[in-house]
Amino acid sequence: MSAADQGIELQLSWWGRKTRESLFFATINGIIHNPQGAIAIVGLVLLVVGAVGAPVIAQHDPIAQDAAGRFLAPSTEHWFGTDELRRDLFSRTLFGLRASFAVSIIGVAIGTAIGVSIGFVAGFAGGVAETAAMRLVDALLAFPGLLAALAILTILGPGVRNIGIAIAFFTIPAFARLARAQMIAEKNKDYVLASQSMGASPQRVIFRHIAINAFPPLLTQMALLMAVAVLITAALSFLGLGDNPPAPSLGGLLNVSRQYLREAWWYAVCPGAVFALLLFCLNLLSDAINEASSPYQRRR
Amino acid sequence: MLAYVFARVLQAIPVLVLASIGVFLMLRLVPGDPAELLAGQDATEEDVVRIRAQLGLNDSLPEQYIGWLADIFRGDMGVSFARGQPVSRMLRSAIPPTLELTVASYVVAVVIGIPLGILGGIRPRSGWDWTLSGYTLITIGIPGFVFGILMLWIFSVRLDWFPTFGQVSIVDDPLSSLHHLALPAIATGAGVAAVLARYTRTTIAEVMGNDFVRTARAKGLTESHVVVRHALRNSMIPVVTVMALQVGGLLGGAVIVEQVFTRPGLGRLMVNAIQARDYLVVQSTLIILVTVFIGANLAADIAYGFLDPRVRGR
Repeated sequence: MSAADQGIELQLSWWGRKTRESLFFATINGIIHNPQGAIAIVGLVLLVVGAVGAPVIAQHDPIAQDAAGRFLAPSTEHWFGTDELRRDLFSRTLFGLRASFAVSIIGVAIGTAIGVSIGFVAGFAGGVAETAAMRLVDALLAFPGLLAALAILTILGPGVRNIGIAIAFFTIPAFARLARAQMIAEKNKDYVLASQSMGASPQRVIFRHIAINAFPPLLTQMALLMAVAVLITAALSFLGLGDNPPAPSLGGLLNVSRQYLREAWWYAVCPGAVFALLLFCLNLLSDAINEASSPYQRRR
Repeated sequence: MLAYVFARVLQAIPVLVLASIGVFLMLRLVPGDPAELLAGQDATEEDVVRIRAQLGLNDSLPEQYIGWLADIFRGDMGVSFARGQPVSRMLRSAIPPTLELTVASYVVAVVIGIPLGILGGIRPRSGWDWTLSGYTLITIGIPGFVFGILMLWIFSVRLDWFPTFGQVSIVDDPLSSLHHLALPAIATGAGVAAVLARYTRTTIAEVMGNDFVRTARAKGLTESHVVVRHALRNSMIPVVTVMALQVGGLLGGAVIVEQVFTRPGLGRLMVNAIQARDYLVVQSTLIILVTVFIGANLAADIAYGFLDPRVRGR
């Protein structure tokens, strides 16, 4: 069943109205109806609300050292307990999550935009431009993600902003490859020829027609790279290369918690659990998008 | 076969050259004068001049690159300004612990991953298959360094079964060395085990559906004979490739897990060097890690050709 066939199918969508399903809504629908996807969305919504609403939800200042004592165990007053400097760990976890989200989303978004543009243009143009662009991409892929990030932090110096740049940097080659493959698969289809013969400009053909049909695999990749980005952000701040103390970060919390495992198990376990939930949901989501956007897998 | 190996090696060379140019240019991309950066903050004017002459910064870029490569092949990587030691000596003491950890985590990954994948693959939707799915889900949510901290808390701090930090050379005291290695190796290897298991499961499940497996069963062979002699042989080829490709993942994991267990090694060396802006050390560590990574990918390609005659023809 091709994407075009699905487009004209009449289906009862989840909000109960008969709609003419576009590929976009078919994918969204598929994600929501998939139990994995539903769990992922619920989990991510919770985490995003927690991160975005951190200033409102957290009852304590994440930096102020004003709790009743050091290493207080989790209680109704301090949900995740307190740390070595009498700071509330629940607030610190929420603000750390917020920082992780910000860095990962900005990094992946910039990397995706650049990578997809390179891939689309290379695939559409073909010839020498394509070969040159793809060889460069291969060279970038020769560095495993973490090593590339470490190299960039060496050049630019440690810091949150530079972690974002590092994430954008390693996002580029993965997307350039995928976008090029998508472009090559799509560019000789009838609808592209039709719009070209009507006089559409290359930009219009690429971004208005092909991009929309090539989008589900790119979306899957984006969810997956978000997971990688969150992981690398946390790993780098765990190594002590991303923090600007006293601002909290998920990796930074885990790093400091190591020294106090004997006194305060919650210091490592609570932020660690939030981090695990985040990774878990992002991976489930990418699986769900993948299943929803590929009809073969859906029919299984 | 020889022609195939030769062709693969030839293909790997440009990648290695590009990557080494990248690592070389790294120091030149840092804003500021490389000689002043390397000399550190409290360097005198003479130090800067000496370093500039040493690095050949007055030559053209291509000449500097060639000189740098030649120095590396001679084992001369300069002197770390942060510690005043030759970089090559620092690397010599940092490589063995990382090598131990990588090899040990590789063993963990293979010992858990391959059997779990086989058991899940020969009977999809069985108990073993669900165990495999559960295991994969857990390792996806809990990355190596978080898993490491959890184990550190439970097995070292609470139960006091394992040391909380440090490393002992496998040559000096094998038992104590393994005692120190166990938790870090599990933390690094567990995630890679899941990748191997998933991959093995897929290829075994595919192979089990083939006609030759049905024929083998129809001949009246026992199930274990069918699995071991017929299915495994045909499904291990891609698995071997994936095993070689995981070396990069293991190295990256080892770099972080070393920090969790306060183990010396390349990871700690590099992280400390980045924080101290000790560029020569970072550069040398990176070039080693990247070379190993590219070498492992090459080994994967060659192993693939070795095991599957069809690949060689292409």
